[in-house]
Amino acid sequence: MPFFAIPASAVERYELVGKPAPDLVARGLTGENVRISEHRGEVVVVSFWSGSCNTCRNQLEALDRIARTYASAGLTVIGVNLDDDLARAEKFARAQNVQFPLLISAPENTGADYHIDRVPMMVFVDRAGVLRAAHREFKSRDEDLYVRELRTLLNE
Amino acid sequence: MSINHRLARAAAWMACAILAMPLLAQDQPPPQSSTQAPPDAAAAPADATPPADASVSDAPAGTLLSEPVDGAAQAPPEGGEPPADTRALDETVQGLKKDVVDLNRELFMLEEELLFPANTQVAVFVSMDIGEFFAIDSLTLKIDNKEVANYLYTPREAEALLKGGVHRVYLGNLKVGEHQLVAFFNGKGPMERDYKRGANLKFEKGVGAKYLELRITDRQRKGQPEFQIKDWE
Repeated sequence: MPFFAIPASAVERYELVGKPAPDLVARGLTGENVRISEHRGEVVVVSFWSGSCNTCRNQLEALDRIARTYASAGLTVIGVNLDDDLARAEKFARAQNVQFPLLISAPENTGADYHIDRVPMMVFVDRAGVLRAAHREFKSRDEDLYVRELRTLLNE
Repeated sequence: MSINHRLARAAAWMACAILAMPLLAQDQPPPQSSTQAPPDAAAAPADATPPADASVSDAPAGTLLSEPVDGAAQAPPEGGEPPADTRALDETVQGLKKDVVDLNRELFMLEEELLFPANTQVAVFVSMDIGEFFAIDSLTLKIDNKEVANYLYTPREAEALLKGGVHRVYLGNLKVGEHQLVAFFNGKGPMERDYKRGANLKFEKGVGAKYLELRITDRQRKGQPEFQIKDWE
């Protein structure tokens, strides 16, 4: 299995790459519970965000564009809130015009399970449930990189 | 079969599988499957098939590198059938894979036996029938006033319960004696209203394994769901 560096800063490593993605279940904005392991067989993007993070907004918008294009090819995007202030997170989530589920009340251990040290941060999980890439921060030019990487995973 | 015997068997199998790996590695090139590729490209043998697109190796850091897909390298020789020695090797590999799967299953059972021995084992299951008056969302389980499980059900899982599935929500150990189980069910009740109900049971844990079933049934006369805990002897 190929290993990836983390684009935001190539010197940083993400220890979970190449390992099975930790399972995660949380309630979405619409009231439905979403479990990541149920999407085995699909390429899953898990984006971690917070209600106080402006960059997260841009990243979620970019992911929504990608999700609309590649959903039919087996791409699933899930946004996970890491903000303790649930009211703020819900307000933030409602303001987003995205089609994928935004999970509000993630379990307390989510950040530790996924080794999240900042937001936005996101991980790509392949069809076998293995975590294959991680991206910290977001810049508008990153969208092309995401597309390239996701296309590779979708083609596997 | 005793646990010691099983452990010895499992260890013997493991040793065989480990010993067989280098022999197989000498006889054949690395597998092409993406799930079995070496984790580090630098670790690939010198005679490995080069990538189809040489530009891939020049990709910047952070670029997702795909597995080289070289159709010519993977295609069987012209004329269809692969050589006999390749077939035999393939059969050996498939046999080994099956052994590993069997071994894994046996180890899993062994692990459960060791972690949850029958004399202390307690398992709690959830079942549902019809679900006309209740759509389950989550379940919280307390044993002796201590929260031992908190499970969120996705729509697919709830559907599986309605189709007759039984979910083991908790497996743990308890001492012999009297204990109390309290279960809180959250979900949507009649008329799509939020619904939260509890059920509790005092039970006696004996020397054997204890199985408890949380049953959610519809009470047609009242038009309400009913929550029961059944103690399986």
